[in-house]
Amino acid sequence: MPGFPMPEALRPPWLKLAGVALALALWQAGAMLANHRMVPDLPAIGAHLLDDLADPEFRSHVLSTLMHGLLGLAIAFTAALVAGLAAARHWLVDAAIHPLVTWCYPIPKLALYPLVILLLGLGWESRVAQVALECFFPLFVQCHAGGRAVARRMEWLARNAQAGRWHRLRDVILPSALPFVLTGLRVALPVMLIVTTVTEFIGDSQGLGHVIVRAASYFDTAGVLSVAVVLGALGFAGDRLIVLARARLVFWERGVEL
Amino acid sequence: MRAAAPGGDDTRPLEDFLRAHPGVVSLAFVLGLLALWEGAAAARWLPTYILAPTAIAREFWVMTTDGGLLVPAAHSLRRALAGFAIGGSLGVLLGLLAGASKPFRDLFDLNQAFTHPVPKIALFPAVALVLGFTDSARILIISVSAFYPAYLNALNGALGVNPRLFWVARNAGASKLRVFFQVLLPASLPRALVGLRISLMVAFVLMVATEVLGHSNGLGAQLMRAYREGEYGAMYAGIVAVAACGVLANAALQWATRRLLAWQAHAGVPHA
Repeated sequence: MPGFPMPEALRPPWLKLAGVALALALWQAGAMLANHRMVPDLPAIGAHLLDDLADPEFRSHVLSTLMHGLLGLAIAFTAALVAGLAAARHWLVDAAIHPLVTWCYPIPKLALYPLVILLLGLGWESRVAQVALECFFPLFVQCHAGGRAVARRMEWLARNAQAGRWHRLRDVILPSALPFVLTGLRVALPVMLIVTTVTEFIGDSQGLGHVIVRAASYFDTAGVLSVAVVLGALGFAGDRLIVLARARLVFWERGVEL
Repeated sequence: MRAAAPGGDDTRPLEDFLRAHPGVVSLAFVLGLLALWEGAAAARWLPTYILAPTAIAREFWVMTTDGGLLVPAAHSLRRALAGFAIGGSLGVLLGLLAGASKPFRDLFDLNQAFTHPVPKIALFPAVALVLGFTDSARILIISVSAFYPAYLNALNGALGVNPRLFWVARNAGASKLRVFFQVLLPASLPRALVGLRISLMVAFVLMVATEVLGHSNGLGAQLMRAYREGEYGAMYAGIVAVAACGVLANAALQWATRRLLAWQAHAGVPHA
């Protein structure tokens, strides 16, 4: 329709793209001014990234990071869902564990890593356990809030309809808690990437964290930055997936901006 | 309602008491866990590297009084709080600016979306190649990490401010600067403080993480060294010290939050 302003969602996001171009240009200018191999320019990082992606060994490290991170996240998710919902639905469980979790939340669980290594060794088990430990807390907080967010009327209705406990959990409580659970996953995902990377700095020679430390020991800054780009892409893709899942699963909350 | 004790349907004095005082339940739960741990250690069921709670408390007390923990704690806290102050304040400031101005927000939007999920600790080795394993390198990484939660929450806080507040201020002839500091900032403060709370937690995680690589004089390095040398007492004391720093800093921020939001009807910030 001529003369009619295009809806905002359809207009190409020129300014946003200009922002990215500006940031990249600033980096390139800085690298050219510094003219130092510790500050690689964009073509150097890009070339390194392409080399890395073509290398099967690099891809196996990506896979290792992803598998262990996701396994830790899955364990944390299961534990947080069970504990969070139990605490939200039963006063005794709540009184027992909720204050404990609140107190432990601001503690950096990374300090426990030496102890986790002593218990589980330097292999993948300790990494998975550390990721699970750190991701549990943000997930618990959201699952707990979600378990509390069930509308009273819905519960009365379900009870009146003679819905059993399992039925109520599946059809009333879990759907009400879903938006909160997904928010928790969104908070936990970057935490998962941080912890996986740090534990790979220390542990046995696997994963992207190990690739970073190896590149740094060769003074290969472009190699470190190329891994950072890969990690950023993984995080970005994971985040988009959660947002997409939210749009799909929580269809009744259309228009809620994340 | 499920009865805690069988039989008594009319009066359940124990349950009523516990419902009214949930703190008793949590205290009993924690003490029970500690007692189990202590008992298992006393019965020698646990491996030698798991110390009993009383032994850890003794070690922590000894190392605190002889200064073995306080000096590393001071170094670690200085870096964590410096990074939090720089990253957090920049995050809130730029977040509010982005909330107030759409062009500014658009310029930042995609950059933020791509760089936010990068674990900033991955950049630490690269930064350390240029700056060395120094305080500046560590504080830089901590501030960059602390920036994002503060920025995102301040931005969302600013976007959620009731536009009528701006209209009123504008009608009263307030300048742009005045609107920014006297309307936008206080109105977005509750949300911004939620972000700062996450920033503080992130700063403490990164405080430990940045001490894992290179030589450092902080708590994280101290406890990794104790682990490598098999000095388990010192390792546990370090863990307790890190935990205490995290809990205390969080409590301080919550206290400040309550002071800052005292004018609000619902003082106190929802859990992040």
